[in-house]
Amino acid sequence: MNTPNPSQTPGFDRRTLLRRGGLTLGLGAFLSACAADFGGDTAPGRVGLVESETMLPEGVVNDVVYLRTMQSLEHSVVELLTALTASGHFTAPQQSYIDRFIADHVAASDVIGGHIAEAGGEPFACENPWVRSRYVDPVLTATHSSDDSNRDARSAAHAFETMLAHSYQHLVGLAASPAIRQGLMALGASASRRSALLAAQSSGSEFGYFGPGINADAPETDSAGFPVGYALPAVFGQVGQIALVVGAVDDEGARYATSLQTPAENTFVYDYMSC
Amino acid sequence: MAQVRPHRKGSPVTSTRDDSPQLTETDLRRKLLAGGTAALALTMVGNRRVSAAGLSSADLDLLKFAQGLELTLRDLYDEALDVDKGSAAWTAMSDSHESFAQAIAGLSGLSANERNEAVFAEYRDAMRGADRAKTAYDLESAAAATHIDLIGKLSDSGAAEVIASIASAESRHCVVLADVLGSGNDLGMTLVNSAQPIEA
Repeated sequence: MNTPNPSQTPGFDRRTLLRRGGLTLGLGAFLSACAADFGGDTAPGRVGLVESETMLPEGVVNDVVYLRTMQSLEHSVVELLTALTASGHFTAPQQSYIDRFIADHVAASDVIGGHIAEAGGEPFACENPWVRSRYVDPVLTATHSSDDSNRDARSAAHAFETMLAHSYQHLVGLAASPAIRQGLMALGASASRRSALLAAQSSGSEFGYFGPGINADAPETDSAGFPVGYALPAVFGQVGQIALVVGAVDDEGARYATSLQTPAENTFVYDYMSC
Repeated sequence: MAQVRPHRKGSPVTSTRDDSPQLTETDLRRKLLAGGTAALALTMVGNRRVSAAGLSSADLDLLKFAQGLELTLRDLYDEALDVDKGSAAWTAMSDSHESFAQAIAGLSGLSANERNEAVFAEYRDAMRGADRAKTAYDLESAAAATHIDLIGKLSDSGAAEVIASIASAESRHCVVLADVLGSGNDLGMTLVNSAQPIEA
């Protein structure tokens, strides 16, 4: 005789429960996969009203960018020399050079603007924003509060002219068009002359014309630790960094020191930038 | 010699009688070898010769000219050095131009052994004369102008970069020589290069 088991309801045992549960889950997954896309934003929710990040445009580096960058650097030097002039940091004889330099830089900018237009680009006749914040502003601040503003103004002018000379020469190796390379180097030669003139006038009588790259006895710095500028620092034209020390001695016994550099990706004036 | 027969419209392309010479396997191999050799010879003697450094023949010609000019300046400074024995300035200038010629040799593979005789003859006496510093200034100005001119003709960017570094240095030489001449305050002499390039 069979005795019915009260704990087992017919048709709803554990096995049945598992089977039906699995079927339900599988059917749910199948229906979800086949469900229509009703649209709507699937991005995670945002808290607050701060705007989302803005991606920078993709910058293409080409000859026009090189030219725009050099045009901006010419204006950066104009801004520096003009500010130093306005503060009266140069002597009268030095000022005659500086006035000529400023005029030459403005003329160089016009020449570069012509090259840019010929290449189908848009001129950038204003200073380089990166150079302004990283070099020009700190150097001016230090020079204005210096124990010898004339010394620092001369050093700054020499360093920036040298930076221009190095930059032009550097970009000759990067530019694609021979005509643009030639245009760059014509202006680079002028910058080299200005750099050499300032060095000869500032330190030629004490340290001579030939730097450590030619004369092994030539010191890199003077007795006070300031870099010595030479009319001929080395046999070949250089493209390296230019050391600059300006300003008064601070509480830690140091002066403001920086290294000017030739243009790179962070200094380039891309086609999407405008004055 | 096989004749080329016109293909008449509407007629079959294939001919019942083929007069063209048949190529045996040996003939084909021989012709391929001959063609390859000819192509190689054309590459070597053709107008677009390429050096080991990857420079075109046109660039090599320009670099050869620049190198000859540098060797000429070296020898002209040696003439001045023969007058002002032991002069540190003339020694440094001579050595610099030797370095420039060697740099071009390193770049191009061209031996630095041939100066520009015409330029040397033109300036030799002046470099031994009383105005040798002014002559040197004029020479450096002409050399810088020449190199800047060459940069616009060179197709290779690496070659242009080397020539640019030489032009930069020679521009600085001009300022030093102007200062030596007592014209360091003459902004026309120090800042402006009014020289014409020396023609290749």
